[in-house]
Amino acid sequence: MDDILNILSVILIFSGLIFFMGASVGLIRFPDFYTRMHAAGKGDTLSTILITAGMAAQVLSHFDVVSLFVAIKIVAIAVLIMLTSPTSTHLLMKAGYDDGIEPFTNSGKGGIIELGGPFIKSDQLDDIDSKVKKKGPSKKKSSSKKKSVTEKNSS
Amino acid sequence: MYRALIFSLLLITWVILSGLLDAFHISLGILSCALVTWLSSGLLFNDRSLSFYSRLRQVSRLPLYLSWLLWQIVLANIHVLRISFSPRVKEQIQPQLVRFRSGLKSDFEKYVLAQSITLTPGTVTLQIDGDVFLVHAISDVAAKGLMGSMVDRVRHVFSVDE
Repeated sequence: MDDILNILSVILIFSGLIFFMGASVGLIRFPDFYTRMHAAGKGDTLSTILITAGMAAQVLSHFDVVSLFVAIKIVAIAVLIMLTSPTSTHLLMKAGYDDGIEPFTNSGKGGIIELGGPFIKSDQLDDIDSKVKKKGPSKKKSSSKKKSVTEKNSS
Repeated sequence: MYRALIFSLLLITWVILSGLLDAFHISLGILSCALVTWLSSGLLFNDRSLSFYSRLRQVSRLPLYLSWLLWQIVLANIHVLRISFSPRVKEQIQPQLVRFRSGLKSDFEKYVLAQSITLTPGTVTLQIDGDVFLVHAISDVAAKGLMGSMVDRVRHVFSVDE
């Protein structure tokens, strides 16, 4: 049992390091601010999970109640990083976007691709607030528009 | 009911963090958890209009969503890894800004969706305006993943059924 957990932890930590290396290489090779933030801010989500899981497996290889608590604490670190890291990445990219940094695109021209939405399958289309100015050509949306109009008329 | 829940959450945290299981430390923990629950239990769970039962249903649907999210993170991380090790990076990536409506109502649902999008490598939430999400995606594959079932799954987790 000890050996299995040891080997498992080595495999987990090693694969976590590979993902960390991918993040670092991407940080150097990607072309602009936004894509680099992708590599720097989030290449480490999976690698952090893998490495902390490997450490937890290492701790659990001598099993008793105290080591179980230590393993739970290590998992709590992973949860904390999963909660905070996306927030800081989002704030940095939002700051860059608000500052007017042009995103790099292959074609050279920027612009925003409209996907439309909401992607609702069932009949939950009632009372979606119609504050949004941009309206795409999607069928679902037009039906929701009609519904909200009829609701307004009836009320 | 909420007070009992908060008390037990605090006590579990106490026991895990202290790691000592003798009567003295546990009674200290029970005392301080009771004090904190009495003084400031109003800070947790802002919206208490939902019944306790439907709240429980929401929590019970969360683990399935989290495991699905973990699997998506693994897939997307491998995708980004392959991009960053590929010999010609600039031909592999198609950075783009994508905007879509989510149709989610409560702030917490939007928070969970934005956090999930940002956790998945290859996509970052840039802005949330009402229920319109502005997302930066690193490649066509990552952008296509946005149109998948993530919004529907978040809505399903937080849907209230009578």
